[in-house]
Amino acid sequence: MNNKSNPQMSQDQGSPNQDQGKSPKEGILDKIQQLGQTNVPQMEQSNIHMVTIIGQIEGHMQLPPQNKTTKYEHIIPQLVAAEQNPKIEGMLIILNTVGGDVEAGLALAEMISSMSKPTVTLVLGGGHSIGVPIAVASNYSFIAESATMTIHPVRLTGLVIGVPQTFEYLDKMQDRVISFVTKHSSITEETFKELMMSKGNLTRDIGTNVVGKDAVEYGIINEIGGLGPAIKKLNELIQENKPSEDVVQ
Amino acid sequence: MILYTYQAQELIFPVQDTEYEGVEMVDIPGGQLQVQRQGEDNSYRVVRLLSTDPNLYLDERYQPGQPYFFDNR
Repeated sequence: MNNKSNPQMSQDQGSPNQDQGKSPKEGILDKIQQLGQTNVPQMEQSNIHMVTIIGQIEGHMQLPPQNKTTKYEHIIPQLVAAEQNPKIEGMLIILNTVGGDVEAGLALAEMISSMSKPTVTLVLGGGHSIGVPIAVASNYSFIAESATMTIHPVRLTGLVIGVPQTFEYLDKMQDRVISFVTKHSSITEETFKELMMSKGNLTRDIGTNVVGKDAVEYGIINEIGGLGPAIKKLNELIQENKPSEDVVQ
Repeated sequence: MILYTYQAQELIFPVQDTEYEGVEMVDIPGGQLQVQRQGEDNSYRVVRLLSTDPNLYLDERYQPGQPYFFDNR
């Protein structure tokens, strides 16, 4: 590794020709402990910013700290800042989520879909439940071939008042998810509901687990791909979004 | 012990308040850092970086596990 990149190490080392004592080794050991690698590459200012939607999407209740969560109070200001900053030309949204709060998820999805800058989503691993509307919220969506999306009815945890109105409320909440997904992707409401309510796909549960290729075939996601294609597509969208320069006389 | 119940896990095993202690959010240029206090000596380490700028994730100072020092403490 390049010792010059770390001032602390080169100080400890003294002359480079002296015996390679303990200090550089300790420096490397320290770094391995931190990230599992010895050096990270540097690069210039990026015109693409990215947001990761990971773990559970947290709603109004704070989840215990052992849960990995995406908090809307973190993501929403980031999206506002990205929308405002003229140096940021595009957003990449990376998903690996198990789902979570419906309202927080829909809020993030609406924020992403209403951005004026080009957005591309990439589903890696899993984009389940409320991850589905977030995945379709962008201008163009990718899914890794091995990634899956579970589509199932909305459900509640905790104490529920057992009255018909509760069921109606739940049904309306589900309609909001369905209408968002069908509006922002090419899947029809009929097909999406069918996937949501189908039996026999999930063990002792209703819903469907849609794997990469199937998600594209059903029309939920635009294309199969990974990081490379996602960045390439985003750069294309950025170019299209730029006002054309050749109109100058 | 095997539990067979309709109760939520949190109702049976309440979350200890101490688990929330020692975790703090710090504002940095371009984002936020989640830092955790290490033991008794008031030293902090970086847990997570929250930012949309991919370059900040390459900054050595913000790598998970890096010690973090407060300016005003």
